[in-house]
Amino acid sequence: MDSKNLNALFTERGFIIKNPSVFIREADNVDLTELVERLSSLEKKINSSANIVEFAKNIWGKLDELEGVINLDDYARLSDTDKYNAYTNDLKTMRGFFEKVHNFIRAEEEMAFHNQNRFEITRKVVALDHDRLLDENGKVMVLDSAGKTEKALEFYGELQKCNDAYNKAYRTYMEQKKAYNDSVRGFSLVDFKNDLLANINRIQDDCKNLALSPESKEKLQTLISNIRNDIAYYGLESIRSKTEFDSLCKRFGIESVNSKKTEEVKTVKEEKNPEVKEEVVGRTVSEGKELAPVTPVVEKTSKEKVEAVLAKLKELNPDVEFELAEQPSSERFDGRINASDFVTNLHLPEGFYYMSNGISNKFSNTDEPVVIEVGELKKKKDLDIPEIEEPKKDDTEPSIEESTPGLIDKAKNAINKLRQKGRVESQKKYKVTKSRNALIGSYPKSLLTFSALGAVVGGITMSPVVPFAVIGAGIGAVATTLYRKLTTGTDALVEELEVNPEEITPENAPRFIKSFYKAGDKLMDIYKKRKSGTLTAKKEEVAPVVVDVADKEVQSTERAKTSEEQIEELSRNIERALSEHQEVQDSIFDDELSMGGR
Amino acid sequence: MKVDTVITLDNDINCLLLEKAELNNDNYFLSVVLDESEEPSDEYVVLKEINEGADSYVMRVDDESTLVELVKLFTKSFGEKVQNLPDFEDAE
Repeated sequence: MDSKNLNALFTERGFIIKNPSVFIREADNVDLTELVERLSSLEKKINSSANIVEFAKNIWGKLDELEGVINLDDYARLSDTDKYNAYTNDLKTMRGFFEKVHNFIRAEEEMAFHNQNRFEITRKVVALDHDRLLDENGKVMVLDSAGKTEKALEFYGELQKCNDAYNKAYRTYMEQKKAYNDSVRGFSLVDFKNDLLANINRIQDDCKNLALSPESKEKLQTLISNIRNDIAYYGLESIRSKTEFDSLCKRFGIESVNSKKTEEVKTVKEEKNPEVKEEVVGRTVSEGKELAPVTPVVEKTSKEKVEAVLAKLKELNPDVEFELAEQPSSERFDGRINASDFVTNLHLPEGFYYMSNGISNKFSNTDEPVVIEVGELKKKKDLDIPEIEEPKKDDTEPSIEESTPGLIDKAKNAINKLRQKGRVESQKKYKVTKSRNALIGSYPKSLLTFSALGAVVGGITMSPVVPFAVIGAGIGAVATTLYRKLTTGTDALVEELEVNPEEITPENAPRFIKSFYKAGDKLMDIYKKRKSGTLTAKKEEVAPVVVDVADKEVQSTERAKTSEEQIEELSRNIERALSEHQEVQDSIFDDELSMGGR
Repeated sequence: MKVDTVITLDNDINCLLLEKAELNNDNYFLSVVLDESEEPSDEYVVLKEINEGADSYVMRVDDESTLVELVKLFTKSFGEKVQNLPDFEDAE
């Protein structure tokens, strides 16, 4: 690897060479890529210690068990009141250590639950759109237009409730998250463990003073011993990683720009309680000895980790189809798995949790943290339904869309509108606390803006004041121009955008708006393919196909001309619409003046 | 506030500002809400900029007639930008 690539690798992983002479001396005959990989891996392990979610779940569960054993023991009621109170107080104190993280977990679970409900309703709406709504027995419901209207309105109401519940849960989640983050600020793992160990020792003493059956005493002894072990082992990996990380950094004169994060976890040397130190150190920690030359442990590659998770997912979700995608959409993912079901519907392996577009186990105490993107297959399956269903339709009977024009659009738009009622709420003023520049390429930004326009238009197409033709022509012109530029020299085709602007009349404009909006996804696909090199511009062919080349040039000129004409048409339409709007406003203003005068 | 910036709101939500339009002396932004991983979500909003002294505030626009006017303005300025986009192979 040359120095340029090495520099990129160091920067990307957040490492800087603090002491160049030390680095140059030590780096001789060392594989620097492996060194950086090893440091990154250690850094991940160090930071994972602050995530006590799994640990808290485990201890909380064992405390519940402990309480259960005492509550079910008839002799416990005969205990001295003061001694019983001492036990309950210490148990309460012990739970208090995990209260914030427990509340955080509960809030997150509740939010995920409501989010799943939203997905369920949305899924039903899609099924209703395509006449695939199932009844309680799993059979496809046959609905006439009235039945479909009733269902659409029913789902509308349900989704509104789900969205309200989700928004409420989201707010609670954010509050709990903040409380949790505040509580772990300046968090010292060792102090935390010492407090827990001291408290579990007190609970053990309390239990000895209670009147209990021999069986219960035995169970309690086992439980308390397990809790003590869990506490002692907790975070050991991160302490060990921290020692090794510091040692490597010192040896090679390297520093991590994330060092503030990693320093939050104190090392064994900082322990105050000798009793705990002895227990912890005695088991595994190698007393912070300097490590001999870099011999990085061979870890599983990202692909192997993803494949292992895929195997577990298949086992846990036998009804769902999975496939391993070639590569994720972003480097922050270790891999991508496509599933035929929504990610939130999947049963996940232990330690994994849902992210907005994938799954991860990075907050568990695993040695192999992995972040996996999940998607695609689900989209294909769900969104391509009409193409599969089309041949089955009876040609003699009009479709629901034909028999009740606009109904599906209205229901869809209502749902779209509700979906927009998300995290940025209406009628609420938000203070801008921070602002920073975003680095975004011209094409990704254009595609994002196009989707944004589509979404906003989709949300207002129920309004009677929408000048469909103007908006349709406007978005259509932009979409076709973007399409032409994006596909220059390729044979990529998006049927929705092969439109003659004259076809966009006020009557059929809503349909065009919908199809333009749908085309956004296809444009994004084309962009991704071009970016990844799976779709490339064709090389111009020589002599024998002179006529073809000429034809292409003519077509290309026509395309450009069409786009320009569309933009001009759009400008004219907008000016006309603005002028009409102004006239209406003026007339209203005049009317009001004259009424006021009276 | 200006386009191509990410603003953080007081509820810790980040929004990427995509397009700006001026209507009746107010500034409006077509924006996408970013998720916790800083990736664009499927939530798109139009935000109205409100300046109070040194502080900036935003409010989501839901009034349909205002949105209609803004869509026209956004589409026009976006159309011009798309028109000036280089062909893909030149750009990337």
